[in-house]
Amino acid sequence: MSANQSNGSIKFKVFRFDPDKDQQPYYDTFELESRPGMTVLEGLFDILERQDGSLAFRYSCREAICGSCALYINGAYRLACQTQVSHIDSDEVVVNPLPALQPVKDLVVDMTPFFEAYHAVDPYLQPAEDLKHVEEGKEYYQNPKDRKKLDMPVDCILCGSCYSSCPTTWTHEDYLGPAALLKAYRFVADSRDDATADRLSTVSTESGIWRCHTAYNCVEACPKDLNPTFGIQQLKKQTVGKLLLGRK
Amino acid sequence: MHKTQGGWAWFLHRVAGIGLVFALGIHFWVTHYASPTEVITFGSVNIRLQSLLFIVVDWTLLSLGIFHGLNGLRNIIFDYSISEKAKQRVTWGLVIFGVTFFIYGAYGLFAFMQIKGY
Repeated sequence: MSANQSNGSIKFKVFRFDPDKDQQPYYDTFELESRPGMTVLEGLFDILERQDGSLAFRYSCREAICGSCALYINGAYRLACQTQVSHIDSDEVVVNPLPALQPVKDLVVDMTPFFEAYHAVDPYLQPAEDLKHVEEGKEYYQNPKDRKKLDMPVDCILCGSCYSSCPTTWTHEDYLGPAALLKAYRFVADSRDDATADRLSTVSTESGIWRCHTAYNCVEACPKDLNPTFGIQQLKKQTVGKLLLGRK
Repeated sequence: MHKTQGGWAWFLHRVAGIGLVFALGIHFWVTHYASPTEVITFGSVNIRLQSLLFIVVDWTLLSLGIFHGLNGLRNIIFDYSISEKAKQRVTWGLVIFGVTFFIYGAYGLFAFMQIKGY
């Protein structure tokens, strides 16, 4: 715990930028009362309500499910709602928006490229023919062994940390990115899905899986401890398998 | 055939990488360890370069090295947002450069082949 926190106060150094007013981004420093269990998101609310009502940031669920509050906090990708101030080993909490995405205002970034890539991989189940008889509103059953394969990829909350951290997205604006490719893998690995060939064709491009150079930044960044690189490598293996076997 | 754009380049890059490990291994073994007492002179190198096995290994090393290196460069260039036309130009430019470089490198061994009468 830092000296400031033990005194009951904590400094927040917050990235500020309003494209309508500011020529350049800058940092504002706020001092606030810390309390046990206080999260970074609570600190941002404290600033918003008591010190500066113009501060902009995204949030929704406040329980690490929605992914809205992903930020770059003290040099690491974290969800503001699940990051306790006391767990940050520094005298001040430095809060930045997700890097490599255009800032809209303060801590809010434009997620459009992220969601365009996400929608490009058709992120929904396309059931096999023998499952189409299932009554509307009923479940598509799956055995536990097949379901187990989806344990990792289904936990993605679309926070954008992996996309923001990937070195390829920094230089290649059309790259699908780790989250979209992990989502594609999630359905390719799903025994109930019947669109594997189309999905592999969609991701098997120069802007898709082949642009991943396994830097593992996405794995480091993911606040849910997922492994998008593993999913992308599985897609590569399946694609090469189809190439060598000559299957459609 | 499954459609892909970049899949073969990715796969062959890895095949070339594995091939390079073996070709380099043979090259190092022959030049440094196979005859530890050998004094390296122009004559001894001349005799070694007349061996068909060594010529094949050297050509393999040359072709794999050129492909692996230039395909890697192509990968780096493709990491940037460039148009499809620019990608085609880069690819064909590197192909022409690679083939030219291979012919130039391979030509160096022809003289030794002629001595041996291959």
